[in-house]
Amino acid sequence: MRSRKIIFLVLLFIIQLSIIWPVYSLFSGIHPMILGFPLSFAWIVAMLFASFFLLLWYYWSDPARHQTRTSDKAGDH
Amino acid sequence: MEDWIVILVICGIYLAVTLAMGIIPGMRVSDSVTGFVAGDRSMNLLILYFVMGASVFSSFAFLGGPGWAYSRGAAAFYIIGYGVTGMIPIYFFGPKVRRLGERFGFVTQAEILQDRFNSRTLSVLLAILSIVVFIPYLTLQMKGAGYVITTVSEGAIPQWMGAGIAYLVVLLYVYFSGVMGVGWTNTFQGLFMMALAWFLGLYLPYKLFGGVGAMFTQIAQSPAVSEFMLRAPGLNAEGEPWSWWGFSSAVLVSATGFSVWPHLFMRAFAADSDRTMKLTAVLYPTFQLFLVPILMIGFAAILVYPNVSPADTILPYVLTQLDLPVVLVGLVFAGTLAASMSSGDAILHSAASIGVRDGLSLFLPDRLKTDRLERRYIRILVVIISLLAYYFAVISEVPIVNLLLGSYGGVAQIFPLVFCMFYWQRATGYGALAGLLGGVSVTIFFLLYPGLRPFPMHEGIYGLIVNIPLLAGVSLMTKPESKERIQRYSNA
Repeated sequence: MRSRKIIFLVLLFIIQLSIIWPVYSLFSGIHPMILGFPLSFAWIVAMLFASFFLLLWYYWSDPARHQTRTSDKAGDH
Repeated sequence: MEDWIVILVICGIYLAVTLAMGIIPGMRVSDSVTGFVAGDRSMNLLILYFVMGASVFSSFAFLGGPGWAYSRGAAAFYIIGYGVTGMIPIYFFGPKVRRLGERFGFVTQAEILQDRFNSRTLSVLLAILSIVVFIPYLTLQMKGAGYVITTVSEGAIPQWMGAGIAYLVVLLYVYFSGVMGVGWTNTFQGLFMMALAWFLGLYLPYKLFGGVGAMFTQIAQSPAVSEFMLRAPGLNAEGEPWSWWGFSSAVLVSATGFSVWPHLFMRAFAADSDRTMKLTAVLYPTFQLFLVPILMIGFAAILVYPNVSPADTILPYVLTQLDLPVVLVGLVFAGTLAASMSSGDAILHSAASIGVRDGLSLFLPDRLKTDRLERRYIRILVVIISLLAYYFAVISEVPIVNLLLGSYGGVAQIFPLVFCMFYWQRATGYGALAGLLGGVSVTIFFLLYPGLRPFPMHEGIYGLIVNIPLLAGVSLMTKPESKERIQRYSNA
């Protein structure tokens, strides 16, 4: 497995744990409020952004994307 | 002119525009099953993005989302939570599914699974599972639409007529245009819903409290409100603090099932390229973000309008209490209709396509299975399913909400099969059947007898605990599928 994929899977696993017990329970309180939102709400929205940027990075860094952009055979195997 | 007539006219204009947008694109696709079910595999990023997004956001999001935030507080974050990772699997299997569909002519989820696992029984089983799950889902969307129109007209239009009008429009464009009708209307409906949700979600806290921060500060300081309204995992349906078991397992099951919902999964066959498919998965969270203003609508009502029941009516309730311009109220009601219809159309279309391709066609002799005839059967089934759902929505008194609540657990049981289709060569047809049957049975058992669960976890988790070992164990005990078949999938 390429290191790019390992990094992706590890980060994905961390994000997944961050929206359930145990990690979310550490950030489940009301204070500190962030941009007016309670911490519990801001945290889950932050994780939504985190997963968005993670997949965006994975897409951009896909070597197949640069080689065969037009032939449409690009993909992860 | 009376206010409700203005609002009704706006809803009428919305319905007319939707109908036009639904019928016109259907004229451009071919007169074939692939045209009807998969839009000739020609959907670009814009359309696919909105089809996936708007199909997910149903009247549950528009009415139920604020209702959850209003009555269960932070528990509503679960709805955002499962979308954080739920669509990511599509990034990986979507392009493979698309390429195989193009090569072998698949247009539904059961077709591709049937081919990989070499099992017609599996196809029939998946068709039954899909339709059992889809009919209550569609019924709830119809109820939502009927409810909106009745509320708007102050009772002048009864629920049966409201649901009838809205879903006649859906029936017409699904009947004529198939998935392209779904695609274009969902793009229009999706944009419309997003704009309204953001406007309302920011406007209500501002108007009622002077800002989002002020709103949450006041909720946090109010002695009348439980601190668990803002502290995850919020409250359960009984109004007591929800357990982390319950919250976490609900997020996990819903995230697992998210990408394999048959009506979302089969859109991979409609994508025009791998790039479209991948970018749809990448961009999905930008659609999910629109739950933030949706939940804020519910939070805004907690202090100002306590004790509204049922909680799902909080959005229409707030709208009628505030002194808003009548055109805006009309737009919001039309937006709620859009939410209902943009999910209802996708479900109706998928249910009929699956019923014919994965159920009926397996039992028909070849001479009754031409492309033209199949398309006709799908259209007939579109009408039958509409009528059936309509019957449950306005005539029957069967409590269907329970069925729908169980559906996520049931759908999640498909995920191990989809995963093994591409990533475990040793998985066999018997293994897939055993896993699916075992998983679904256990899920239904614990749905019916929740008191027997050893831990207060979502019943779908117990289903998966049985599903995965069965799939693995039976696969290892049975003969592997042929090399050539497996290689098609591992090299896809």
